Amino acid sequence: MNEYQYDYKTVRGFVVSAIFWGVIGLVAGLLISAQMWDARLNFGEYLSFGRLRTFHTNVLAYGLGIGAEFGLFYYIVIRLTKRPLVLPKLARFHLWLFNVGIALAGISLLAGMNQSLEYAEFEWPIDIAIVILWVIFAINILGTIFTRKEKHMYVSLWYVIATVITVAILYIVNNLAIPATLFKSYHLFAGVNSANVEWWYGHNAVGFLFTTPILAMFYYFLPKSTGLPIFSHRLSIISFWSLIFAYLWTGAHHLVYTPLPDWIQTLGIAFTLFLIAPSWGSVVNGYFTVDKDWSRMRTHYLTKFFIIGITFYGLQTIQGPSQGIRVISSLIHYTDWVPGHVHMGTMGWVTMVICASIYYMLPAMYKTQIYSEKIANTHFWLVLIGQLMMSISMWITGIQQGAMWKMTAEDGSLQYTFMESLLRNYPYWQMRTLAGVIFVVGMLFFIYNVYMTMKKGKENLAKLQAA
Amino acid sequence: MIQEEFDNPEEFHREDTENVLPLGWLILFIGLIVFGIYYIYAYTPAFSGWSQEKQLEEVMKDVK
Amino acid sequence: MSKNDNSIYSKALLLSIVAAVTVLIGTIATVFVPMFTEGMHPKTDGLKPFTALELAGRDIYQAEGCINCHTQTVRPLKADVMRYGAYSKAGEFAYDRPFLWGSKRTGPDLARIGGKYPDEWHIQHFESPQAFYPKSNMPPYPWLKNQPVNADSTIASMNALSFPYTEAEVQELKESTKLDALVAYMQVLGTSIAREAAVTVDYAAIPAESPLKGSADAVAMGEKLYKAECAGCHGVNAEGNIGASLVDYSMNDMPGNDTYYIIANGFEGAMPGYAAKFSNEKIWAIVEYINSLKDK
Repeated sequence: MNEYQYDYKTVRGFVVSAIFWGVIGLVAGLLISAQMWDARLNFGEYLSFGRLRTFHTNVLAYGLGIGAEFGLFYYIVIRLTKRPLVLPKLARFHLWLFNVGIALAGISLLAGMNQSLEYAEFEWPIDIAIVILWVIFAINILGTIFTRKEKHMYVSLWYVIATVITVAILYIVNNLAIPATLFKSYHLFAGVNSANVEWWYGHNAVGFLFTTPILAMFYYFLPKSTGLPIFSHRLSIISFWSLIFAYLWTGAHHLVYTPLPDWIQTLGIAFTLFLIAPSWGSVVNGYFTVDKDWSRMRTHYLTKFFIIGITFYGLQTIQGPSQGIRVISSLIHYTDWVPGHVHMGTMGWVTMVICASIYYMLPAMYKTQIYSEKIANTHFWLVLIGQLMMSISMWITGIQQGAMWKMTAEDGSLQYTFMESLLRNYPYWQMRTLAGVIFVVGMLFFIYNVYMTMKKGKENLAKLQAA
Repeated sequence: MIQEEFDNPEEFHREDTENVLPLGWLILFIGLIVFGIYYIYAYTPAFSGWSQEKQLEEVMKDVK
Repeated sequence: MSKNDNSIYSKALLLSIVAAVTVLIGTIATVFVPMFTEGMHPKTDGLKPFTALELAGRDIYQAEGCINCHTQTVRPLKADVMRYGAYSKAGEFAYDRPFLWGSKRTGPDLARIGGKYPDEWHIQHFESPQAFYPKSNMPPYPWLKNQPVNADSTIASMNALSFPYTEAEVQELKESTKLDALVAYMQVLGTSIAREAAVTVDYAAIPAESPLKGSADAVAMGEKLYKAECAGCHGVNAEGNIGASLVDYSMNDMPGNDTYYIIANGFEGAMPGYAAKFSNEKIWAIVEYINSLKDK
């Protein structure tokens, strides 16, 4: 018991904001998925595929993903340090700036302000705003950890620290640019060098925005929601250090068979394969944790979210490194296999764990129970089906595409024209749109459950305070 | 005033297995390091002479 | 778990520093060190900085998010080289800030698009890709022809990048639409090294007589291929558009091997060659289809 109250308002603000941006990003995702099989759905300049796809990835990555991470990090950090944030008012400003920033960033992409660096598309004024945003966040997070009341730092805090530091390095270096006007700049790095910097950034954005933060959540919320302590502390330690060490070497696996020097490609591929080990360290740790009592998969509804989430992480981290190998890359690179891979990570791992964390956190903050476990279960099955259907259809058509691009006729000429290979994707792309609809419906169940839990929670808090 | 419950470190750390490294995982860990060293040797032009250009020359020999 | 109070896990500053060093090792080895080696800054002899109009086109390519669907790097792989041309060399991209190699080929690679088609092909194709390939999923870009290039912004960019330009270029820029700029950019892509087709056909090696002569099946197959790949330029009914009228052509009773030769090897800057993309049989089928036009 303590003498003060935690201020959870900022945390809740981020959860609501993340959901808001999530809905916008998902709707954009549905539209672009349909544009892929019917070009008539490109509604003019601002809603054409090229702009909208960039909007989709950024709004979901930064609005939904990072937004939720800000909120959940603020929660995890004050819980594990046993003290409130050092600067709660700054955190409130952070929330405000975040929403203004995402709105402006989204509009700027639709307006065609685009650096064409994947996952770093924003032009330089928005980059500066993002750096300020991150510094504000870092001051609060690191300040709170440095002045913590609990001496020992739990695993989740290591991942939080690694995230805060590494993202800052990545984002600043890759966004160094020569500004020409307020709306246009040019990468400081040129050609091959530009490619090397961008994919060092791009891959580690996946590593430090979609892996380490989600692992921080996983290590915190899995024990909290199941009541089972983490299996092996030593395994957590080795996994953590080897993961953050190896990740930074691997960006070049996005540039296999490009003009990037062979030795950098090879280093990238070798370290990528090694990454299977630290990734599976966390997967194995999760499995053995629940191994103590598998019946909790039935009795504690969140256990299955976390175990399926970490399973997708495990599959993702086997599939990803395999894709790096030259012979596999030569078949599936540039095909729809890759979006299939990415969406298993984002829909199966990241979103699954974020939603589960929110399901645990909201009732904990409101001292109440989840509105409906049944709705949560419906949400679980719908997003699982939607995600599997999406990824599997993309893998099939990706392999088909890769094979059609390569196949030669008897006399040695290419068997298929590009257009023939394109048209064969259409049925699978239609299936993906359907999968997306199922996933979005699942997310609507989640949102309804969150809304009702918050409503119920507010009444409960008022009651407790009156008592 | 609502009282806060603190997180208790025992909730997170299992004492009886805290130093266990599952054998299968350890073999994977070491095996991947060994394979990585081999792979870097085999596909770095300065070490083995392999290069993607040479690989292309080989396969283009039999194009009509 | 608080057995060892002196471990790194109780010292936040130390852990932060060690974590930063850990992530910097790979960064330095694979990104920062290469940056200062010559291997990362090669330049092909034939490469010239972008002209003002080309740079304006490149800016539009970025703004429209073309990178989402098109790559600009031909891999040193047999099928890539056959389909697109010579594989990309590091030195071709010295002026690319940023690189635009992309990561997805929803549409074809564009690294060697420069000079493959005449300007008019691009102009009509941006207006309506479906006019060339009815089932294409590429969005049409009809607004580009109505919007002038932002000349001031482009000149600021030329200065920022220290690219040379003349007063005539500025004048040209001011009179150009976004479509003109984008087409100029398309036409310069991949042209710093000599164009080379992976497969060309020797005239002497083509039999004078079509092996499929008089086959109705061949005409049907040729028509199907024509509609899918050729109709955009030569017209749905072969009446001619950007390319010549094949109905007229068929009246001349050209020998089959002449027609075969043109389809296989193309004309520089006017028509791409199809030797690598179509088998012998398919090319003869198109020859048969063209010959059949004179009877209609």
